[in-house]
Amino acid sequence: MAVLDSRTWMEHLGEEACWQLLASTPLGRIGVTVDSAPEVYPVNFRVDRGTVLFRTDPGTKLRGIDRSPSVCFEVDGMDEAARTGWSVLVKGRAQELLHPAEVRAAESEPLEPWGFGPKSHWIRIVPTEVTGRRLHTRAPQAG
Amino acid sequence: MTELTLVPSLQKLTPEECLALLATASVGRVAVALPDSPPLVVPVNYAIDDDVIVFRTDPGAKLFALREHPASFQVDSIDPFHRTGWSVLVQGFAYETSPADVDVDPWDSGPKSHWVRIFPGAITGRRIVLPRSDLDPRGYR
Repeated sequence: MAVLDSRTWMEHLGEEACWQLLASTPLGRIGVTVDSAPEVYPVNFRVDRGTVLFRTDPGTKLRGIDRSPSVCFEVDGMDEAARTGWSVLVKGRAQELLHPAEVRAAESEPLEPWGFGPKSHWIRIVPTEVTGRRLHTRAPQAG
Repeated sequence: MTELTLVPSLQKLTPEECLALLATASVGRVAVALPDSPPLVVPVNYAIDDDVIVFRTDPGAKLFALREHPASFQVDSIDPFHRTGWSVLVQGFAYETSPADVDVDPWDSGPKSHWVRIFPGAITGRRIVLPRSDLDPRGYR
């Protein structure tokens, strides 16, 4: 059931609603810790059997994941005109797909990475916690 | 056959270009590194005051973590259809400060009485650009 904060009109979303929003979005942001500081990069991704799957090149992102696999993944949808929006945060562990069968399975469905480069590494985030919030606008006062 | 696929490329942005892009948006994501756990990433409404990111928040996990740990701020604008856009990352430290002169107008209606500034240590950004097509807008050479 939705819980709406009467002060901020912020709804805390259930896990099922969070996964529906994750599946409806092509673009998310991976948050990794690199040398004890957070870094956030946009990636396109897909939901795969309760995990988040994306591709990347060797670089800061992959190095960060190797050293500190505790990551988060954020998606949001903002409506600037209506001043509302929602966001979902997945916390979990990132692992590179190393087994050829896993890579083949991942490649069997299209996921075209944006940007330049072969993006030869597949990363899967296995969630430990999924939370989400949706901001509601107050209905205009009658009269 | 002529190759018509437009392969996008990544272009590094200068800090000046990044700051100019930051000034064009109003929603960004504040990220805090937490020891032994995943970083926290939360969208906030923000403003730029003298090259410093300013946002407002309520007391809670985010504010508590921001006082103790390195913070980053990320803003992007991406067109999923054309697969173009940009992303800027500001890394630095967050400080709770007195209310700023700039107007920060959070969408939610909590009091958000705490003002936070992120002082940039490093500003980096990338732009995804499609190469110039040798076709004109009608699709003719």
